[in-house]
Amino acid sequence: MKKPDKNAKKGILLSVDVAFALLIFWVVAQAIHTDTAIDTILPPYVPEHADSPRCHYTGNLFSIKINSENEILLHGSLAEYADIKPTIIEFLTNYNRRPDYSENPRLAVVSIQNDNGTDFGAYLTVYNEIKAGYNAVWDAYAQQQFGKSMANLQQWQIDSVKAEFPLLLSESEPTNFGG
Amino acid sequence: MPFKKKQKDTPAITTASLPDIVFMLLCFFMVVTKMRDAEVFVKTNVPNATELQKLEDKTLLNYIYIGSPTKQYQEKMGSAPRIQLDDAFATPEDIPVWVEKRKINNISPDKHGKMIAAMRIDKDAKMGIITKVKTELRKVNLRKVSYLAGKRN
Repeated sequence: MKKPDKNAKKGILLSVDVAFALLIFWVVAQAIHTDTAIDTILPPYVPEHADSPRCHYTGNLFSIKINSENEILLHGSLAEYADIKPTIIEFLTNYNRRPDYSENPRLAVVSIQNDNGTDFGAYLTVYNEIKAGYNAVWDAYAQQQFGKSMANLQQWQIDSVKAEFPLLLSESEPTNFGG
Repeated sequence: MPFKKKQKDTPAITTASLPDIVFMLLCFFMVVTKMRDAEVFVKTNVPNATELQKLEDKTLLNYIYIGSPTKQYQEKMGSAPRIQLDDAFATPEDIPVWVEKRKINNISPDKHGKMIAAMRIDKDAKMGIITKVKTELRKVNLRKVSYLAGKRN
């Protein structure tokens, strides 16, 4: 009777290693896919015949309109998508410097109105730019108050930042000029 | 000299590597196969954005697809953007019933307040249909909406 071959044992060990290496390779190579998205919260439903709240003041209201050609009207003047973020930041941190911008960020409201013919891509770009503006303002305020970026703050600190610059978005009923 | 049968020693086939082979097969199938998702009938080429959040908790998500039908469905449905809920085309008016069905069948009762409508919308879809969907969602008080988007630098 022959002794069991030592080489055969080594071969088994090698194949275990190979299988293990393959497993690790697949685990690393296959990124777990999670969807990314822009979050929003819709306003509660108000039946049409009910009295909807109306805005009476204009100074604290910043209006953005998008038409069916995906052009945007920023606070009354034609603008590019790239202008939205800096203008939002200026509008929020105005503190009474310009009469047509917000007197106090706690009262500032951004209003979006689109057309029924607006492309979703254009709408989401505008939405994204508004959020980018707010995020930039929040981050700057967090740095100034707590010396940290928003991501490193505790919950009460985040709440205090968001109380100073509340994200007040108003979406008007869409226009229906271009179909 | 008597004929002596020479004893052949047949080496036993080692079975030690069998588990490894099975293991590798398992790996292979894990990698190749994919969990069955709902088949998507509409083209959803999502827009890109920068201010993105990850949709972590998949048990809360309710996918709504909006986009123009893919080629094989265009003969039947036309090329204007349509809504897809689960495995079927739908109209905005179908959404309240669909949400209630999801609440009964898919989402546990303690999570009803945290449900999210994950809207996978083609970037060329028009806002008219999306506004209708949003109004229906507001009617059934499903107000957390996430617009799916890709990453832009």
